[in-house]
Amino acid sequence: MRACLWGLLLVLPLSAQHGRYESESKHPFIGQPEAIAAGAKLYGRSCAGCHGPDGSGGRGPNLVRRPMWHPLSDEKIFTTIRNGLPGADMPATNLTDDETWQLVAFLHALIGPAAENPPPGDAVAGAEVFWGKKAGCSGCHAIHGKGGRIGPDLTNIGGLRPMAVIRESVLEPGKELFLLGRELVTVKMKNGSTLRGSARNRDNYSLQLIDRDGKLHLISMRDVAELEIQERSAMPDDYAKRLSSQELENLFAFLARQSLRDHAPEGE
Amino acid sequence: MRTLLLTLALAGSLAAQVRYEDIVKGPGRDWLTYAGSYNGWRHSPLDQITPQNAGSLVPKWVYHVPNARGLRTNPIVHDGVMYVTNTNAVYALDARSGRLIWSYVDARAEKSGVNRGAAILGDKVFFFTSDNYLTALDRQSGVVLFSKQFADVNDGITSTSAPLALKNMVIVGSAGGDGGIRGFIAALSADDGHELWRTYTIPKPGEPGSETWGDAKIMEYGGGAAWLSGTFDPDLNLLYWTTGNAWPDFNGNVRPGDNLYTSSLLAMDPETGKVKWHFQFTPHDTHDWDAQSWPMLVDMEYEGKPRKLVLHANRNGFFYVLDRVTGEFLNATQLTDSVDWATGIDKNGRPILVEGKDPTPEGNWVCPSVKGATNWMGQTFHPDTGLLYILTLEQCGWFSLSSQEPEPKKNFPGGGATEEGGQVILRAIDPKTGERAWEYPMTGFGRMWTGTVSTKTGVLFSGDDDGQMVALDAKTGQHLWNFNMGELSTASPITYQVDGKQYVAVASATAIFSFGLFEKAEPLDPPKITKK
Repeated sequence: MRACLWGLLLVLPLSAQHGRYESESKHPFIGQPEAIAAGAKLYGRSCAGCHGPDGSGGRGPNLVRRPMWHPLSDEKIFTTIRNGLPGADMPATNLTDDETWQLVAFLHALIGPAAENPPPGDAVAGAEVFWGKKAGCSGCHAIHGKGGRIGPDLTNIGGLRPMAVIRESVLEPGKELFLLGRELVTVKMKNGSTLRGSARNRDNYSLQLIDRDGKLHLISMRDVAELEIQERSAMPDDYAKRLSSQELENLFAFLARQSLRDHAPEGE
Repeated sequence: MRTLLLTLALAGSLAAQVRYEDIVKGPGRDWLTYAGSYNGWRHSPLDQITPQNAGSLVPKWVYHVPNARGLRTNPIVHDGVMYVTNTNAVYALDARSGRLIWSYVDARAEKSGVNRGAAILGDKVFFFTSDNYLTALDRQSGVVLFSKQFADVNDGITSTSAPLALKNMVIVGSAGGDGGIRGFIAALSADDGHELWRTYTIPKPGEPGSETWGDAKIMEYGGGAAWLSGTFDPDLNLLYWTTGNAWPDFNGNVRPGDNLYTSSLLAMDPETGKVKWHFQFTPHDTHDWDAQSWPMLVDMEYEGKPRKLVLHANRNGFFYVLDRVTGEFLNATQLTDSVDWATGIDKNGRPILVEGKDPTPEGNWVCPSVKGATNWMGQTFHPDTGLLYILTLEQCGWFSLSSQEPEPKKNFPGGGATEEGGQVILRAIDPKTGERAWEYPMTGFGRMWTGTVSTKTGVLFSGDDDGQMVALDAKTGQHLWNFNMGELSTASPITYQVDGKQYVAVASATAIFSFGLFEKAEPLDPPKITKK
């Protein structure tokens, strides 16, 4: 899988726009396909050994999926590559300015939102996968208000998350161990009623639950007799088997294009 | 059976929706629009907190808003859920505990800036991103229903106001007037965000009002931003919206004339955006005195006749009373003591100018300061005391003039201004006479942007200029209670009720505080918890 992703990244038509968002630099290499390709070579030679060929980490940290993912500024990446991190294993480099910016352009494309580098699948066919019964994505996830409310909203998923994170969330949802805020719960109330759904917040004193119909329930723990918590992700973990590789690529292409701030979403 | 159940379920969820009629009714347990009601009063019929028990108010919860700095958000409360905003972000909190239910952060917005809050209508929570998207979120789950851009941030337009939702539409006003824009007010569909109408606050060459500019090129970027939500009279079906200063702010030489419709109040038809009447408070403004302060809609006996009035305390130091049906000027009185640019307002509503008060290259000392005698801070009208409560600022400053050629979209104001010392004084004003019933002077540096809210029982809550929440007796101004939030307050309080308990909430610079009457905690037995 890693090799496959690595290959994809190198051959992608990297058409990222730049300078559109506050965290982005105006450096001309950002989003420029030649610079990204040159940066990819540099990355393979100098960085992949520690950070993994697809940026997923190894001896060095995972560059793509960080616990609190947010866009790093390009200048910050530049400085880190140039100076290294004193006290950590990350060494300083003696790359030229241009080489360093090529590397930044590659990393920007790698960790940037999927919408900026949509993968080559068929997004229209991917929409059918998303809304269809076989995958059943829309039973739990909504796009533009259509679909379920139990799982995270995917209206802007391509505008928020890098492709590698979307891919991993579909294929290996069990990797995500931190479920607080998305736990599936069954709440037996002292008045005899039972509620089921996703606990958006749960603490010792209150619980806020979204049920399968998208209705919000504000619950005081004083009124709860019994609480059952599901300890694994509500996301099915069999998509690698359930869908063909073509269906998956199409689904990824569709999800990557779900972005509120780019072209109109395709495949709807 | 299934049909019956479905019908019941639908009825249940429909009842919980926010209907336009619910907002028209004004606040009860919920707080459904920025000022609580369309008339702008910031007054609640809730009656649990009284002058007698306000002394035992305590903080019930605090929510620290991520990455917040100088929050301007006005909380909206519906069905036990509170909606607050930060720049490009909305947070839904359990209004009883402050626990986060969902959040929406638009991380790719092209601009960040202040945000004054959300609006609610139907099942949608609306807010504006700084780069001019109207975003609608499902009120229960927070999923995005639509997000539609209505203006280009590269034109210098930005959005800072809370949306005003009414009927089937969301009203927006543009911000960015100090950089040279053509200000506008627009109605967007509450269903999908498409534009229903747009009314510019600055005319085009040849249109009425264009004769008040002198220079068509400057007029094109004449300002007149509309960055604060307005008020609305459902019976007259009129929107009341204020407009900001003319551009360049401090250089009036390049725009001879009154510069319509800047520093004005516009009465508009919400169905078409047509301006029924306008009133300009500061013709040819050269002190950045936007008219952004709340147009308060009050019906009262005035000079022996029942009248529909609009009351307006202006940044220029005067308090105005107008007939809100016709726009007729009725009276103006001095709002603050330190006003030196005009000796009064004449019978036509125009200021009687003092010579030599325009900005000069070396700097000219003028009162009020650029911040104004009051500003966008929430103010309150209490129907029982008949008094208007306004946070005023006694402050003067230097105003300087730049000889530089005006350049639009470059944040060039044509000069500069300072805010020197000064004192914030909360004033209770009798709208019939403009006289002060009482005053509550505050300590601080004149940097707060907080406002007020009152209750039926006669308690007036206000932030102060020192980061404290204060409760006063609305009749007398007597101090009842205060609480130190530990940082400056730059937003206005609201009040609401959940599970039979009244709360008062306000945003400090970085957090949301909710206060209620002290109750002894009862021990809680945890439920049986199983994991599988």
